[in-house]
Amino acid sequence: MTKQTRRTFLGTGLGAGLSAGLATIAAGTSARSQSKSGNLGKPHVVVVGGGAGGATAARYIARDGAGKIDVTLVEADKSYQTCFFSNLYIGGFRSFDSLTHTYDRLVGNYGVAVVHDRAIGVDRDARRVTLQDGSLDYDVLILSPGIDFVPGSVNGWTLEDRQSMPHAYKGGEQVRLLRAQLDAMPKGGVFAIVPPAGAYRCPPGPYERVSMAAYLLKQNNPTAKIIIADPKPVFSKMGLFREAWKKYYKGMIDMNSDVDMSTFSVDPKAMTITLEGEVIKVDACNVIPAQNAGVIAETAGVTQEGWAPVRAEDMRSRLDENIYVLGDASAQGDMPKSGFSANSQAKVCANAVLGRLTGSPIFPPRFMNTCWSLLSEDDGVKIGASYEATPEKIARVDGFVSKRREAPALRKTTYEESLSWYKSMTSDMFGTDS
Amino acid sequence: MRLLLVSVAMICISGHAAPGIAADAGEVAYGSYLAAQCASCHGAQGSVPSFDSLDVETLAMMLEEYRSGERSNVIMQTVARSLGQREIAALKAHLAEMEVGGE
Repeated sequence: MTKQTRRTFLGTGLGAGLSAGLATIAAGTSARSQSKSGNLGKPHVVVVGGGAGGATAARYIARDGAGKIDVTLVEADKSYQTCFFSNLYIGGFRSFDSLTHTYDRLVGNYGVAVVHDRAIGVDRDARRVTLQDGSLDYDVLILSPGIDFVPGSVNGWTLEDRQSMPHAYKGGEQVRLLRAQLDAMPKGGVFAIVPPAGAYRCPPGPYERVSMAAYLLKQNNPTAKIIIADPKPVFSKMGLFREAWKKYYKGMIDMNSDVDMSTFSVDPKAMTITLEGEVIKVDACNVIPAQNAGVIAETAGVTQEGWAPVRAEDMRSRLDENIYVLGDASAQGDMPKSGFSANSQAKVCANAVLGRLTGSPIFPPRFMNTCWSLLSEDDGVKIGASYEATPEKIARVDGFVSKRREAPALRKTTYEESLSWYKSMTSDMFGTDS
Repeated sequence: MRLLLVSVAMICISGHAAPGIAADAGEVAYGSYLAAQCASCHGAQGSVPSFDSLDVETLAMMLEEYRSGERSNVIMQTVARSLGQREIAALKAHLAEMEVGGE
């Protein structure tokens, strides 16, 4: 990967009339050859966060802008491990490498300027993003920072404890660590998992994780136990998961619902949990804390009660007309926080941003989501819906969920469909070679 | 080149690109926008077919069959129900344009 030089972009925050004039001058002096981004007079879109929302938005705006817009993607990490499908790595169905992607094609095939840095501030009046090393001026800012964790949501756990009790909920090394800890459990050991309360990323995720951990342990450590300490009374695809746990992992899973989090606690040093007054020794523990929008959304001042409210029609912040917020970080209505949702929202947003900056047609918003979960080998289920924009929110129109006692052939087809989706989805985010 | 000619011939036979009903640029652009939503699942070839592996008439027929319930995938049934005649016409225009373009 080529090293990016840091630049402060000038001249992109000017009025439209002046911009148009400068564009002529810039063209006359071959400014295009000077730099990939931030040419005088060309609108500059800065995208913060290179995941399902941000990478997709950057790619579509660069592709469909056809050279009329400069797009800069700010992403701290040089390679990206998808959080979606990371549970399949835990179950042994995917390699870690198969979850890893780079930004090379966004740069080479679409002309996106990728800056590997962290956005730490937003000056909304000056329309400037501050990076750890430099700054970027924008005409439009798209924030797609995913989630961060709410401090204090699980008694006894802080982010500092993530080596002993990983959250493993942002993909990457934390997931690898959790898998290593499951592999290292003694025979008949105990794995505890604490799903989050409130709105959180990937509603079926914690329960697919239970399924995949159980699958892994059943092969290598079949007398191991899994304790779930869930603050919620119900969860996504609950009937399907419970049916599968009984069928495949009978006697392994101890499900505790509606746990009172004021009395629940973990002790990462002693490796214990306290559940309904009982102190239980654990050998591995996955703490998935309560969540809110990635911190840059809060820093930018576009959040309310932890999430960034947006208009349904184009994902534009309700608090700043030059900022759009995609994916998990947004409060948009009925769509679940998922990679699929973020990708779908990014394309609606890209169309609207292109229209705003170049006058190209803006089409009616439309959204779709599907979340697949793997229960055991060749046993996949799904839930999903189509959505429309209303003045209040993104509203669910019509949806579906896998049924209990489906034929094994259908479950296998559903799993294979999810594999196919992964391939298409990551091509859609990061581009293809052709 | 041969492939391209075959594609053009198929479109002519299907009547889509017949004189007088050629898609306008706006329709193709709308179709491209709609197809972007399809790309989440149909961008690459896997057990789910890639978008550009389908010809225009097959696409329209399959969407109709999903809408009626004759075809059984619940995701595609939901998608098909969300598409009106205008959307299907736009998707066909986009696909025809891709075939002519040899993509």
